[in-house]
Amino acid sequence: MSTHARIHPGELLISLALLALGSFVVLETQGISETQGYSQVGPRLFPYLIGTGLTLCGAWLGWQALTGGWRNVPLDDGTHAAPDRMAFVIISAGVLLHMVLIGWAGFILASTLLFVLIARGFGSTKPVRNLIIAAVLSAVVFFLFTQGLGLTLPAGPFGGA
Amino acid sequence: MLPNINGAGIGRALRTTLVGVTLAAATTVALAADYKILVPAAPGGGYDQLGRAVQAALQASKLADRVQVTNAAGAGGTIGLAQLINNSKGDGHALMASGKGMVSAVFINKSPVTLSNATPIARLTGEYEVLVVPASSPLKTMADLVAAYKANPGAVSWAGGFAGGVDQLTAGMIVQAIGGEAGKFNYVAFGSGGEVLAQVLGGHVTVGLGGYNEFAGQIKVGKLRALAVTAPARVKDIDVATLKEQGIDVEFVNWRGLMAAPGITEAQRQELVKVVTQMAKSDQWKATLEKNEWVDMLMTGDEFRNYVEAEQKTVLKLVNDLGLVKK
Amino acid sequence: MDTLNALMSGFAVALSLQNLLLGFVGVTLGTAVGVLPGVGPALTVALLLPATASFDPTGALIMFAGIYYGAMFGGSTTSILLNTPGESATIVTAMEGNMMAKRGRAGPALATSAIGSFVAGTIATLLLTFVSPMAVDVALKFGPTEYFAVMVLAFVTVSAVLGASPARGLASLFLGLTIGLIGLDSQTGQARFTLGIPELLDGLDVVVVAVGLFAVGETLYVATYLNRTTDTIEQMKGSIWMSKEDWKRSWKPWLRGTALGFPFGCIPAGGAEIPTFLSYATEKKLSKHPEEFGKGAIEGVAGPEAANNASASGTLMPLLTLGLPTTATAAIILAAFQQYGLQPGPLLFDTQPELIWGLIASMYIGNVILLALNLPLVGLWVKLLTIPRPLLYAGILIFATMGAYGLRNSWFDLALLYGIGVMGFVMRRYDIPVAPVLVGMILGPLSEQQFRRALAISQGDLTIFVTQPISATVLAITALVVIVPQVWRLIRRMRASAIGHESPV
Repeated sequence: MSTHARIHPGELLISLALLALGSFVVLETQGISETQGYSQVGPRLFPYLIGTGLTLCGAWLGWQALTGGWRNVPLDDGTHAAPDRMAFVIISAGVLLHMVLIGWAGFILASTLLFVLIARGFGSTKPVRNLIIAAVLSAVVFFLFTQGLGLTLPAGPFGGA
Repeated sequence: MLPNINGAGIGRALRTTLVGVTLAAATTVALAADYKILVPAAPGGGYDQLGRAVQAALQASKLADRVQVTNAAGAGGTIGLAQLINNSKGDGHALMASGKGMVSAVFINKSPVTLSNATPIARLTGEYEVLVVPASSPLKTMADLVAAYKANPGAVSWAGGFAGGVDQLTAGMIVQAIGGEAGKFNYVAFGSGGEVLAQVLGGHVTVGLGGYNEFAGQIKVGKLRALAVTAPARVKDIDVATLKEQGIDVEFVNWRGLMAAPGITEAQRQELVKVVTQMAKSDQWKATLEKNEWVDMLMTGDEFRNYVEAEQKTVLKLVNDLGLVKK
Repeated sequence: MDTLNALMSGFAVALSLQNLLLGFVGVTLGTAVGVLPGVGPALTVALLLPATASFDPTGALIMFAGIYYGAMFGGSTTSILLNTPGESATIVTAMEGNMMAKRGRAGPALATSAIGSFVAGTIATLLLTFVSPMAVDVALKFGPTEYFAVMVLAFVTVSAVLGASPARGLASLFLGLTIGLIGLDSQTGQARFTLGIPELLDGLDVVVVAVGLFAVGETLYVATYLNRTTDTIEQMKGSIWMSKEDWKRSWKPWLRGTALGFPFGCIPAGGAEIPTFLSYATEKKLSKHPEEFGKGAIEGVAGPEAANNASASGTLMPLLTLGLPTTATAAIILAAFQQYGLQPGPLLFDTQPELIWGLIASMYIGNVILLALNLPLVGLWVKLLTIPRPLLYAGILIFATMGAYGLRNSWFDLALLYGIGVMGFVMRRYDIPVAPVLVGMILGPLSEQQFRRALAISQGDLTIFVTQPISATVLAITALVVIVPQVWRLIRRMRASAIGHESPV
């Protein structure tokens, strides 16, 4: 059995986050006004139970993290040794820019950018090819869904109105 | 018209269609939408059906070249209402499907905007509520139900849609009218009309409430007995006694209609009222009403504006009486 | 006889050109999304949901059901060839199937999986045909009390999906339950945990959470941690066909897998994953070649593949007769019904017979189409995986974001999608199972509402759960499900210690 020699900060952090979220649920439940009606059970019971459960899970995992690490974690085969942080950042930027842009730049432009950024995040080095594929795919998806199927997606500056 | 979104085949095949798509883009984009209808609910629901029916009727009767329907679902329609009020100010071509459910959702969800912020155009359709019991129930008339309620209020369970919706408002009005305390009745909220139906048929609840169309089939085959309908007088094709006939002074209609954006000019408002009225009198619309078994409840302009104001006052008082608005 | 007539009229519906075509599109699309890791049937159906609003409901539902069981077929392909399960229900298939492929026996592995899926799918559809009409009568007897008892049973069986660590599995489940609390309380109409954000009043959409956890989470994870290692597609060597020996070793696992899969599909939250594990364990125990397990035993592919397909068909029984979704995909198919103003449940057989029977009949046809697709065209499906990873995931995200945004044209859902995606990323990184989040999110609100409805009707009398016969029976079964394995374990332990030299697994 190989166990973690040191406390893993990530594990501890997640445990604490769950603990905090659970406690928040329990506290927030007090703000729900209790109307039991004929059932004798109001809208507070389940939030209390669930919040308590989540808090206990957080505490359990926190205890595990402090006593040799989480149990039954698959042996680390080096997968997590060298995270590609840049990939994470580029893909996140793609998704978030898409969120900001879709409203006024329209679906096609926003999705094209999303595609190009994600392909870049995965290490693609052919931006021109990706741009062409992205534009075509976005346009086809846009027209299939809006024209063919009646779903409304923002058209952006090309949309006229 | 098949949904071919086989996302996997992306690569080569699509590249060849590039030219065709760009051409298609150029031509479609040139046609601007004449009207935009905001549907404050997900596709498939009551508001969506109304919005898409209006779209079809406007186009078929040549009152508009193109009508675009957009869904903005959420919170009983108040998300859509907020979108109309915040994003379409002064837009004389923006319409939104609306109705009684939205009036109460505004209060229950403490929406910062109300129907008073929008511009009423027309009421189009409506549906009466009906009270049903299983065929095997000992309750035969409203009098039986009232007696059962008075004997033991908690033992009578009223099944209907979500809390604060039209079904609970109806039940609350009835309880008030028969001298009960508005907040004191055993209302059990279910997720959909179909669920209510199954619960009533299975005899798990005392009485079920819902739109007449939801129960019509089972009433006709005799599996359900309708105790009363909330119409002001007997309705053609509905063989059910009204509440008023049975001495309970309650009438209730779950209406649906169209609202326009705030801040539009008087001329724009007049134009919208004119177009919608013409649409509502078109053959296409009459056929739609027939197909969906909707009751024609056309009311337009100032009359409708006053109606909406009155509805808001009544509903606000009701949701307060029922204890649905939490401090 | 009535059933046969109904089924025949169902075939008339299913064999109409339009429905045949939609069924074909459904199973093809299903196979495709099953093959693609990270895109599942739930996501696909959800993406198609707004787009099919204007469709004829029968055709649309035939297509959706086809996507569902088609994905179960397709999921095995990537499991076997790439050791990358396309679906969570095909994780077990990867264990033996990929070992077979590495030994150049990809052909027989794919074949036993395809034929096993066909056999299981057909038997399960027969069960669905002849058991459902009776189940409808039983279904009407289900009120809130009975539903709640079923929910309790569901929560107990959930333990099997919690994964290697009960602590992480439970944390994930409670996270899902917490998400399920968000929104208006349907009994009192007041907002809970919405933080004053109107977009949260209806709660989080299962689709957004599912797409976020799986598609976005997977994309972030693969890009960050796995992009440096390359997937190698195993070459198919030798014949695609199974030898006589392969047939002999496959047919019993197919039948046993079906027997395990169907009932698990029927019970809420049984899902398709649990019976595949059970089937794998059973086959390992019964096999005459236990030493081959872990090195590519054909039984270990045949059994679990039959199990996941049987459960997919089994899932439709509670969905159609009770309106009870037992998996994430079923939940979205339920939403599809509601989109057409249809409430699955006992009445649907009366009010929409041509839809129900058309749907059931289409499943017989769909299974044949799937066999035809998956046996000879397997080489073609594999080509989908030759799309370079950057383009594959970029394409996936275009569909994912469109699905989330299309729901109500709000950027808020995209923000939510990203947030949940990051959560899915962290969960993958720290080996926290993501499936329990969805299970908790679906089961939590259902059980709370049913519990409170039941108590409202009984006016606060808790004994109603044990005095009602159906509810009492279900709760007794639940108790057995909890107790029996414990007793079994105890007996085994005693026997093991009596023999003395059998080491625990």
